Amino acid sequence: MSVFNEIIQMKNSRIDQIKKERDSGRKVLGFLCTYVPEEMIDAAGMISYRIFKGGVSPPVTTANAYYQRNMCPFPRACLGYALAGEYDFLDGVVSSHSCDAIRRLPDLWKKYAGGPPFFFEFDLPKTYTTDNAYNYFRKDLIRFKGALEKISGEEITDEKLADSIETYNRTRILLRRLYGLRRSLNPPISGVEALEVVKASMILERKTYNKKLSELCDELSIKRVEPDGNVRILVSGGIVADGDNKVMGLIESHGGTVVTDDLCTGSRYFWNAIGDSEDPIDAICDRYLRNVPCPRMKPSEKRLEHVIDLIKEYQVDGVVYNLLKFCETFQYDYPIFKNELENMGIPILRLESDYTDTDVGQLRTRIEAFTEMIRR
Amino acid sequence: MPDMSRLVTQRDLMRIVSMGKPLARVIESGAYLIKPMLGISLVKPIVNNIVSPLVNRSIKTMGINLDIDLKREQDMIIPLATMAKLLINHYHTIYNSGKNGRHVAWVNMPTPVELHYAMDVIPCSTEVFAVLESITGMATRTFEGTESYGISRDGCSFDSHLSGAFQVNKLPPGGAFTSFMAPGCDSQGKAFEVGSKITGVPMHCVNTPFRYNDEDGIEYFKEELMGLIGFLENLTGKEMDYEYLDLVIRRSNDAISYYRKLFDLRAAKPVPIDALFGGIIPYLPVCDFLGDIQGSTRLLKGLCVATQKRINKGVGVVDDDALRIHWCQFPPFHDIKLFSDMEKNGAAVVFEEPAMMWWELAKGKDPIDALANKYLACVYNGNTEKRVQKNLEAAKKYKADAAIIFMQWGCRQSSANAAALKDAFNEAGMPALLLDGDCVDARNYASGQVRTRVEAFIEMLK
Repeated sequence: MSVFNEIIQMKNSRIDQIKKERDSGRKVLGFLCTYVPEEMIDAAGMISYRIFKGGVSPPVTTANAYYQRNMCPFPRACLGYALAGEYDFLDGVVSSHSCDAIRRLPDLWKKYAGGPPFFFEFDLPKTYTTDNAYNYFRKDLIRFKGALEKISGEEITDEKLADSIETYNRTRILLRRLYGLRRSLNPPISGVEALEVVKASMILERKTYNKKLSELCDELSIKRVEPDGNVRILVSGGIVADGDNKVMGLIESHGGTVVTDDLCTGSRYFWNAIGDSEDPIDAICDRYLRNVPCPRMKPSEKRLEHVIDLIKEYQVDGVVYNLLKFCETFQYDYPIFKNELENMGIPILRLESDYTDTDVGQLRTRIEAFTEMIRR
Repeated sequence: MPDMSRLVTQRDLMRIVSMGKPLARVIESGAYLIKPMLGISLVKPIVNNIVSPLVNRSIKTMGINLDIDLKREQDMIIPLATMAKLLINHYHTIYNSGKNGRHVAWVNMPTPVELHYAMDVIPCSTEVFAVLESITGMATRTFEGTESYGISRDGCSFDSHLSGAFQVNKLPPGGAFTSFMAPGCDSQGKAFEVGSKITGVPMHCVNTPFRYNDEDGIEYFKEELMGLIGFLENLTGKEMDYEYLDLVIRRSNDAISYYRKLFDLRAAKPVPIDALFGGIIPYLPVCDFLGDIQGSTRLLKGLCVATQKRINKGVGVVDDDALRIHWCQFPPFHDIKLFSDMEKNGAAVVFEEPAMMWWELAKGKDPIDALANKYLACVYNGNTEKRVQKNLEAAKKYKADAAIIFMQWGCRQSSANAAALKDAFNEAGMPALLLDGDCVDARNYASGQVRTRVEAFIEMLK
């Protein structure tokens, strides 16, 4: 079995494994956003598990009774799965106020799905460049530390934090290595597969995952790949949920190879490592607050700069701007991206999608036309 | 009926405002003159048969879908004239700001505009501008501009209107953006960010903590207010005069005191004033004070005086036993007639939730503390529990029988917990209706469907 398939198998059986670990006393915290510092959950001896199942309509339909329909499908899917009991194995949920829809999710989860006993919400400053934002976010991290210690019964020492930071930084380094392999003219791994590997990191036990990821990178670095003539695509957008490969899959089956991305569940999740600092809380604060920003954060120019760097580094031929329907923040950034990329001579295709299959035909046509146009 | 949105351009708006400026004082003085004459029996037929239809025709020509019964609303003539004068003067000042060396800052709602006034910076609410366009039917072309820029109709129209206003060159001039994220609303901040990028005009964001009532959150917010002061100081080249700020805050509190008094008066039976004069018109002065805090106070006081007169006469817009409605979210501004239609069906709006964005008095140990207390109290800032609690308290205080929760298309932060708010009303024994629609973009609003649902709701409750 290839290492990739092993990782996927581990990913698919993760919940069963978590339930066994839970039976033996370990607690599990679900987290909703890239801005949640998983290192701290790990340092508290708890399992962190990303809540990001989606891509299908039934849980969204269930949630429509509680969430207005013009919300992005992702929080609706989260609530729908919670209502169906799919997240009953969690002892707590950690979110951050990353957008207006997610901001309301904990309230609705608690009210309608019962919810686990522990909820923590990061009051994430939108403007991330000021000292005021840094100080406020740092206080939130201290508050989070206290809450984790209370729920876990474990003291989070600086040494434990430093260990966790090292482990999670290792993941970041390895994922960058994986992405680095996609710079080649004939990438040894598809965009869909690469994203599956990144998503696996968000739920698997880190040290085991890091070992497998390292093996995968070794395996791929010697893999021979025949040229396929596909155009090189960067996908930019928000969360690509676990189970949602619709757009990426269509791109890669209709003339494109996704060689890199600018996604919450892609490169923005791991791109920058936590730096060195005497105080690990300072190091975590600095990294998480000042990471490549999602469009909710201000100023958002850094994200455009990140995309432009990726375009150059990965020799991207075209960008697919993949919006989830009703996602405001990404929507507003689009005209700015379009203007800048067109000035660089990089074609950009705006796609809007949700968790139904009704738009597959339309998306296929547009993607085919886009890749065809680039090829000419 | 001509499509006003195609006829009126930025230049036209400037001309209207320029012509209106000398007329503004005449309008207000005229109202003071005419008002006492309305009691004279000889004048009444002239008012009813000539003046009233003329006024309503003019209103319709301006694109406003409304009928004003001048006979019933004669007490409102002076406040209406005061509002017209304030609006005209405000936009006249804005359009001529460059000539007169004044600074204009676009703001969203709510914004601590007291800081702007203290620095002699004119705040111009982009959302009020969107509302005015919506009321007069001029918003469609602006929204087409929004879409041509690449922003879809799924966004909140209060804010997406701004991007279109730049595209079609309609927005009044301004030299800065000061975005205030008191409801923590994504689209306000993004619309301003995009606007800043399109125009090259500098922007400053004031971040509001979700944790509005803990020490860390309050201190964080006060620092954010100081950041805004720094931005305004850079913009103007002047330093903040904190004593003058104190005076501005006292004036603002005067205005808000009358605003709150108006709601207290609306608690009377029968409902003495309709939603237009009691709820919609007062939004305009409290949002950015229309360039004149004391003028806004005069307007709000005038509304209170007129309402008190009605109460003294036992006059209402509906019967004693009419249904009293607690309205959540802003109304569909392009369909204000909905409220007079509701009154004809025996239901009157007595309270609007957005009032609770502005209506805390600014009180504290110093001006910054006072402003922090005021703006952190915004009903939409914080969790669902806060919104529910504030609404239930208001519904009880203003004796509402039922609630209508209008879900503004694109307003994620208020629509996301609308179902929870409805359930809370139901649990408190109050029926509640969820209505989908759009406050500003008439294209996202099915008037017939809304009326059918509201009528059925009222019918069910009677």
